[in-house]
Amino acid sequence: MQASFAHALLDPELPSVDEHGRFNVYRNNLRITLRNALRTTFPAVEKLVGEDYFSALALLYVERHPPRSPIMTEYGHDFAAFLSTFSPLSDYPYLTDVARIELARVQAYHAADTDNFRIDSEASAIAALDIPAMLHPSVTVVVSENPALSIWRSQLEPDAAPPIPDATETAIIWRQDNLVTEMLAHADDQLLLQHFAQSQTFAALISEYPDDPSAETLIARFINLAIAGIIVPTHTTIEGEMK
Amino acid sequence: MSGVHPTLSAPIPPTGPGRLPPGVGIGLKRAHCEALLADPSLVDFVEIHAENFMSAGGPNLILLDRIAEAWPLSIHGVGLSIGGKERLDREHLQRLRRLIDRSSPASFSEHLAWSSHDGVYFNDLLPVVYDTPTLNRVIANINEAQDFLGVRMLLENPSTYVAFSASSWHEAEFLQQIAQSTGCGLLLDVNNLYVSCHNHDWSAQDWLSHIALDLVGEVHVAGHEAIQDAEGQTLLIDSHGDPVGEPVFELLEHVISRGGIRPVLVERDNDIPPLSELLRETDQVRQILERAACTAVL
Repeated sequence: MQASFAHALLDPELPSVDEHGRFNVYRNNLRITLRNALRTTFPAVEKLVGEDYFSALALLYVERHPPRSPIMTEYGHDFAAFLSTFSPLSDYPYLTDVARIELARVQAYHAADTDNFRIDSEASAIAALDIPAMLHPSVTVVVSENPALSIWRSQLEPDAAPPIPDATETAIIWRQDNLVTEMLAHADDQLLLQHFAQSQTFAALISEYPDDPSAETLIARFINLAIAGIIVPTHTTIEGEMK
Repeated sequence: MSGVHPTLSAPIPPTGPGRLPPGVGIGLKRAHCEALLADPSLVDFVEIHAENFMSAGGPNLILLDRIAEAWPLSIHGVGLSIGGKERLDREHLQRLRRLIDRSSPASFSEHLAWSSHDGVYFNDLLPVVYDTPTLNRVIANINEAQDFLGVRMLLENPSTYVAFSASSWHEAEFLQQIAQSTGCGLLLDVNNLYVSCHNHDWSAQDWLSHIALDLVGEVHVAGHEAIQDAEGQTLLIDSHGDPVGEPVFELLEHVISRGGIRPVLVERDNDIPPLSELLRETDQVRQILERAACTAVL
């Protein structure tokens, strides 16, 4: 019974399994609650495509990618990939990156805790260079061929500057002081973000890249990202709580 | 506004967790958190949905800790799929265990329903067939959940829109048998009872006569809406998006006068109104409990 019930829930073309059409209450409820979950996670995508278009898009996604977990804040994990392969939207490639930013914000909110570097003196800054470090569990880096972060901001922040056409942007999304935050990565951050995707010391990076960008620039950027809580010391992560 | 005086309350149900205070609680919504935390005495306990607090870290767990500090907490699961054909999801049980260990709730409850099949989660409480194989499966699942979580849970009666011809058990007897076999208590959702009675032409009095009310460790009230089905019949939907209806308050009063004072929760999950509106509903529940307390003294 549950197999046929489950099958019919996801396929709006199938007739109601009961003669009174009451089964449709379950089918509609499923579709509406899941569409609303996507609406909550992807408000900027909804504004960009419009409410009606988003609703249709979300219902299609629900049919093709029903949830695999009871935790609704995780729903929509594949929405960005779905948008990138949805041919009617192929002229709007930035939508995929805006969706990735929005998913990253939800993930950052729920990600594990870990202690930050305490950098309050030159000595503590120098000491940090030799401590194994990694990206905070809340960090997602969205590399976009479009001004994706500016587009996202333009939809949700009334005072945001308009996106610069043809610009490319790399966005860092993470949690700082328990608030989800996003910023544009500095041109030289890319190297650091890649390096600290695994636990490593800063010194290991310097030994590999002595010239360009300069060690001084990299140190300055490292300190910056460490103070922001984007790069954190590895040893303080709470075991078993990492996402 | 304090709770109903404990000495006037019914005895703690022997089989449920039964540690929620016999007063009025509210389903906690984010929009109301800060206002309620500023004056926790507005309600006697709160209930949260387990799946909303399964974060690995961050502000959500800080909020959870503040809530658990401020009130006796009821953790209400919606995703365990206790009536499912498949084995319980171990990963989900582990997440529940972490949540329960962290916040030491006064009560943990789940639903007589299924929500997962073949790896897909349907985000709804779907109806089960009331037959003996299902009964045995639900009993095994509840035993497993209670052993794993280290708590005795409450099982909530569902609101349903379809009934299965394969069902051979009365819903209330089905619940009663599950409680007797597993030692779990019952969460009596009076709105669900009202909705199902209307939709299937059952009698609520008859339904209630099939369960031992001392198994009830918590009561829910909520709103419902009416639609027309394909044959023009009125179908009640457990929408949780409307104020509690007067017939539901009347049924609550009947249950309390028969079974004694219980922890009663006002649930609202959609179209969340201002807190003041929900507090008018908790006041109405409080009046019902106080009337029952007075009657008990007389």
